[in-house]
Amino acid sequence: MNQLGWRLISRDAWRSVLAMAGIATAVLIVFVEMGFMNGILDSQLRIVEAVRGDLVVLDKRRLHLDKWDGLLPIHLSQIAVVPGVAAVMPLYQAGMNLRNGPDRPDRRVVVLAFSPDDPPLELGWSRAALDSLREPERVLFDRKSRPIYGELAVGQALWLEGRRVRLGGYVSLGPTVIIDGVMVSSESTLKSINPGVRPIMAVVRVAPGADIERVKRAILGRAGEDIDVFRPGELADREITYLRRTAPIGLLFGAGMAAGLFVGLVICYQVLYVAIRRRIQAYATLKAMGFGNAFVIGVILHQAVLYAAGGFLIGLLAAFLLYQELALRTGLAIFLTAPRIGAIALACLLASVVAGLAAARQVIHCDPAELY
Amino acid sequence: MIPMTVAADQTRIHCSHLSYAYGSGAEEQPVLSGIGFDISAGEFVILTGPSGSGKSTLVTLIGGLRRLQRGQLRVLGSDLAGASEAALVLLRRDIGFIFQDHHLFDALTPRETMHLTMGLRRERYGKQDYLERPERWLTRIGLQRRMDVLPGKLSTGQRQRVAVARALINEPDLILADEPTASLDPESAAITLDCLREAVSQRGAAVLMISHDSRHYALADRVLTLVDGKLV
Repeated sequence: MNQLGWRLISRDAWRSVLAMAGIATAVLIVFVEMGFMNGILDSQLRIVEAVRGDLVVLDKRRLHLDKWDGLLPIHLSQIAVVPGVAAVMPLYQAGMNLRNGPDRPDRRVVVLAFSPDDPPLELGWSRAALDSLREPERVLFDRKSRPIYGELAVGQALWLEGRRVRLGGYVSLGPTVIIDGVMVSSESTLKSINPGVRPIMAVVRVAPGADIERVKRAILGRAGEDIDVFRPGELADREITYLRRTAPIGLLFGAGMAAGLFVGLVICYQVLYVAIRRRIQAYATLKAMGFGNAFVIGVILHQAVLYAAGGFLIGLLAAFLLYQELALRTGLAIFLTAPRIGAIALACLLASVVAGLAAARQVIHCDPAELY
Repeated sequence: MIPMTVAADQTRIHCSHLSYAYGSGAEEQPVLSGIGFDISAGEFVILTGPSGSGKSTLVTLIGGLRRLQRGQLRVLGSDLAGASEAALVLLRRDIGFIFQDHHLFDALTPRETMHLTMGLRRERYGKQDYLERPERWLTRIGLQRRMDVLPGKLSTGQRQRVAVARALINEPDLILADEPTASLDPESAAITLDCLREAVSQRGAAVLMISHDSRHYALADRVLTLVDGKLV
């Protein structure tokens, strides 16, 4: 690659930095849109990722995890006797008012409940915290919950739906867009507060050596048409599909990302267009001298890619800092991964090539004969 | 490809019955009509004539910057009638162009401009050439202390001298110059003309230079005068 493209950019440093800052802003928009989209998806999937089992049984009406249609107790009994099922661990879920002190306001919290002897989830608790759930009216608090609940210290009294409970420790899960915070209790504690609560999910552990797919089919055959059975990965896929297509988070944030990319493309095009316009006679001279269109297009694409690379790196740095702040403030799982960075880098590169080719048209069409 | 018929008589430009018009149909405006002349290796020819007489059009046709319409035109042994765009691009690599304005890239130093131009003929040059040749040429035009300065810090005359060196560094067999000294100080003008004369006398290059300055006529082997698109 010739050095002309690099020199045209590096020796026009101030203009180039401004151009890259413009492209970086567009890149940042794309990163933020993608960050929110993936943050919503990843946060929603935390509960699925916490499942300790081979299969998850849900009521059929529960088309996504924010619907709270529960299973009938009979389903648990039916599943338990299916050949190949080693254990059925029901998970209960209820929305409740939490008060952190007598003079504090009520805050809505989601309470997850299960048997502490065989938890269906792994929520990053200490052994002591899990053991404390065996005592009546003990709860654990998700320390990643949004800060609206205030400081909660182990051993302090709390009020769930007006019932006094005591904090036995912490778990680590994190909020979603809809759920601000999570508490964990034993099944018996929850039922003592809300006797009518139904299991929202049953986690099934398959016996060693049993074929998971066969057990899955057997559960569906035994428990009738009211339920759905998934492997955890399948449930995650269903949830992502629902959120992306039906919710439609994918469309909303996808449109935002596309808009960001388009803005970046337009900025890149505009910067190149002006730079080429300013030097059009020098480019025409190149053509007159015997440099072909491929060479001058290469010079312009080189500049486009350099602008895009500079803008991308600045945008990536800004996104990294912004993601940390957003994750802290929203509690959502907003983070960068290599594939996500790579996807945006590739999109940025393609946009820069399109912008470069569009801007190069004026050089392709310029007539070196006009120099005379 | 252009049919190559390198003439044994060292003819660099051969044109006969050459005509050219802008526009078409009722709006056709003839610019050149029945032009015919030859220029051989080692000839310095000045093309003169009033504004609008067709000088620039003729030079751009010879330089392969415009497509031939009527007549015969052979440049450096290549017949330009029906030549493809790619063939014209290749032909232009063998021609040194000097325009009225320098049209240098503002981001390239004179040395880098020479390197860029040498890239057109990279098959001829080794590593050492890239070190020595630009220095030799830039010294020749009096810019030995300004080789690594960006054009923005050079005077108009110095920039034009760089453009002259750019046209000559690959030692083309044909040089087409359009009033290269029109806006130059006497020193730069003298250096430019010296370089062109040297190319003719030492290498046998052919030079076709547009000029309105009658003082240059003495330098030329011949003066062609165009009036209303015809040689007189």
